[in-house]
Order: sequence, then C-alpha cells, then structure tokens
Amino acid sequence: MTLPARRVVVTGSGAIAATGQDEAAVWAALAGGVCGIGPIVNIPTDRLSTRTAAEVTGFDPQAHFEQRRLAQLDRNAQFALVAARQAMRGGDLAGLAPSRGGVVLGAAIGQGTFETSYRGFYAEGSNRLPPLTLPRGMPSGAASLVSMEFGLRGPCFATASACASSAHAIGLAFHMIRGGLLDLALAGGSDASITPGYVKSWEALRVLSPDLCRPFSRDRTGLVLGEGAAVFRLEERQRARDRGATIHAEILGFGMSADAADLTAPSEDGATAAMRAALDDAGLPPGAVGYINAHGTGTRLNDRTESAAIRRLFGPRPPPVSSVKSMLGHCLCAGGALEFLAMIGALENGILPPTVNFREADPECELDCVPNQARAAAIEVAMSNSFAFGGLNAVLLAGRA
Amino acid sequence: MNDSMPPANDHRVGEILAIFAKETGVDPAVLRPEATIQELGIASIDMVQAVFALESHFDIEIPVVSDRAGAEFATVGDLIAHVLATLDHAKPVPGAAA
Repeated sequence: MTLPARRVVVTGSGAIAATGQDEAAVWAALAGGVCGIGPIVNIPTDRLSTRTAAEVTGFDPQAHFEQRRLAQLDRNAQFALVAARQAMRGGDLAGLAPSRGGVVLGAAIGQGTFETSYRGFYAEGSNRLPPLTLPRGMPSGAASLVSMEFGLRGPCFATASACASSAHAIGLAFHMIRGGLLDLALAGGSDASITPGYVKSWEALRVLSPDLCRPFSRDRTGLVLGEGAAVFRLEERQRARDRGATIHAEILGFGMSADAADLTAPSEDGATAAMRAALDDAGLPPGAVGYINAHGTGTRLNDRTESAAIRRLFGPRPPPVSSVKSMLGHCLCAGGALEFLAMIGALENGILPPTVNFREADPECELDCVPNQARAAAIEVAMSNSFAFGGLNAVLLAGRA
Repeated sequence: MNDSMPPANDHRVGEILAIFAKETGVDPAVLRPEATIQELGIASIDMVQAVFALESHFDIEIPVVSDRAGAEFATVGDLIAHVLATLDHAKPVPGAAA
C-alpha cells in the first residue's frame, strides 16, 4: 500500500530582528536593503574591541509579558515567544489533536542569564545564584515555553548545530510533518547572545568585523553579530487547504551534511553535499533553483568556500545569491530561521533581498550577489544555506505557494 | 510537619507572608498556615523564587530539606516554620557583604 504523499506548507511567520519587530517589518526592511548594523548600545563596551552589532533596540518586554513571568524568560525566550505568537496569528488549532502539534527551535543558550548569574558568583562575591538561572538559561527553554503557550504536546525539542541550528529545526519539523508524525509544527529559532562575555569569545576567534558585514565583497572584513528570532507555522498541506489557510510557501526539500573536517573552517565538499542532498530530497535538478539565500557570513573563508561550492553544483551561471547577514548580522541560532524568512519572502513577493554594504567584486566569489539593491524576479524555487561551525550543514528548499 | 504551626504573635511571620505573597502572586488573605501549596496552585518555580527572596530579605541561607527536595513544603505553615527555625539558628551567608 502506498501512502499518499504528504506536503508541507508555511501558513504563518513571525520575526524580530534589528530592523523590525514583526515579520512584515523585517521583510520590508530586507526588501528595502535596510542595514540593521549599528553601534552597540545594549551592553557596556568598555572592555570590548567590537563596536558594532545588529541589536534589537526599543524592545519592551513588558509590552509582551507580565512582570512576574519575565523572571522566567531569558531575552532569547522572549524573542521566541513574540515570534511564535505572530506565527500563530490566524492560526486555527481546532481539530488538531495536541499530540499532532510540535515545536522545534534552534538551541540557543541563555547567554545573558548565565553571564549575569555567574558574574554575581565569581566577580561580586554572591554565594547564591538566582534560582531560575538554570531553567532560564537552558537551550531547550524557548521550545518548552512555546509548547506551553499553545498547548502543543507532540515532539518538542531544540536542535544544536551552532549557526545552522534553526535551519536544522525547520528541516526536522518539515520531515516530521511530511513523514506523518505531526500535522503542525512551530519551527525556527531565537538568539540573544550579544553579551560582553559572548562578544569577547567571538573576538578571540578573530573573525569579527570592526564595522560592517560585507559578504562577497573583495574588501570584506568579517562577520557582525546579530540577534532576533523567526518562527514559522508549518502545516500539512491538506489540513491547511481544508481550513482555508493562507499558504505563503511550500517546503520542498531539506539536506544535511557534516564536513567531518574542522571545528571552524568550512569545507567546499560539505557545503556541496548538503545542497545536493536538499535537491535530492525535493527531487529537483539544480537548474530549478532561481535564488539562493547564502550563509554568507562575510568572512574571507566562508564566502570563498560557499562561492566555490555553489559554482561546483550549479555550474558557471548559478542563480542570484544574496546574504541578508549584511543587514541582520549573524543571528546564530536564529540565523537559519531569519534567512528562511528572507527566502520565503523572495518567493512570495518576487523580490530578491540584496547583499548590502557591497563595494567591490571578488574574483574568489564569482557570484551575482544582488549587490546593494533588491531586485524583482519571479522565482519558483529558492534555496537557503546554513553552514555552521564544526562543519554542520543544513540546506532548505522552498517553492512558491 | 505537624509541629509546624507558627506562633501567631511572631512579627517575622508577617514579613515572611508578605514576601511569599509578593513572589507567588497569591492573595495574602488566603495564605493561612494550613493552606497547602498545591491547593493554592503555586508552581514549583514560584516556590524557589519565594525561598530565594526570603533568603535575600533575611540574609540567611535556608537549607534544603533534602528528603523532600523538589517539594519541600506541603503547607504555608511548613515554610514559615522552616524559615523561622533557620532564623533562630541564623548564621551569616558565607561571603555575603557585611
């Protein structure tokens, strides 16, 4: 007996980032080429060399949560809940058995929570840590809180794959729905790691840009950290159709690979393998892809390696490739999800978000990176790449609804 | 803990109840000693917050009732008695600022 093929669609989106505090605002800023990178204002910088980040500013937690509940919520969980509520707007859970709804989010550690608590212990002589240090800081906390908010009782967990975490989260949720384990999932990721200790850790790796993120530009100087969240409501297509839901895009494929090579350096082989796996999962040839949302961190090595992998798989005339990290910064465990938002925005609106801050073509990055200005392009299929530290690669393919 | 009924005239009981009510969000009027934590609907996460606030307020370390860890106090009276006993044997928290 052959079971009918189950298809998976996106019926709701939520986002918060430096450039906007709901998904419509974030998309409008992406399409408008708005760079969210600016001077760091949320944390003291006196002991940092880094001066810029893509911070969320003007976020008022009390506008979203009761004061008492805020004690339980790391900033990354606040972002996740805000995005999840947006994704669930217009969402109808009627008729959904609670066990058929799940949550998969990127596993963001509550850096701010741990850092504040440990500073009290190590630096300020306090012998007692705030009792919610652990539940607030645990990397699965946001996923738990989202499941509680909506009463979803099926599979719920957080995926840890560094900067590919939320791409793995969306991909696994997609596969669980397609495979029949779930009918609905909230998937994506959040991150709020712009804390003094964490930024210092990145400085030690010598990959942070002193000013802006310029992916694929010959004069690029490294990555810029960002923060935010994006969460999507994914549903089995027939269920979505039956309830008359607006379908924003269809997820077509998900591919994963491991470089098995290096903790920080990327690999052309691993990146190529993940993109190929996503195409195979969708049953599509490379020529079907009309736009690639790059991992595009703005480091020398990533952009060169990713360009080579794309040209290896797509040939000498690859589709347009842009990096929204030039606008949103590197949002870590939220990065793959925010870039998924950029990809489905491109499909739904027929607009390719640009790579901003681009100044000069790099012969080592021979791509059409949609420099500085968004471009109208009716595309049918798009790809979103996430190639994380540790060689953990996740690639998502989506199609126009 | 049947020996847990607090002396009604101990002024510290009012302080304990005020802090407990604030941290748990429960109406102070229903915080009778015999009221159970369960029937008051107080989540375990709020209990640990309340104990933490009591420790901060009195500058004490409230020892864990190890054989009941995770659900140390059945009633409001249990908690009051435990805090009072701790206060009576109070020692400063090591490392705490004078």
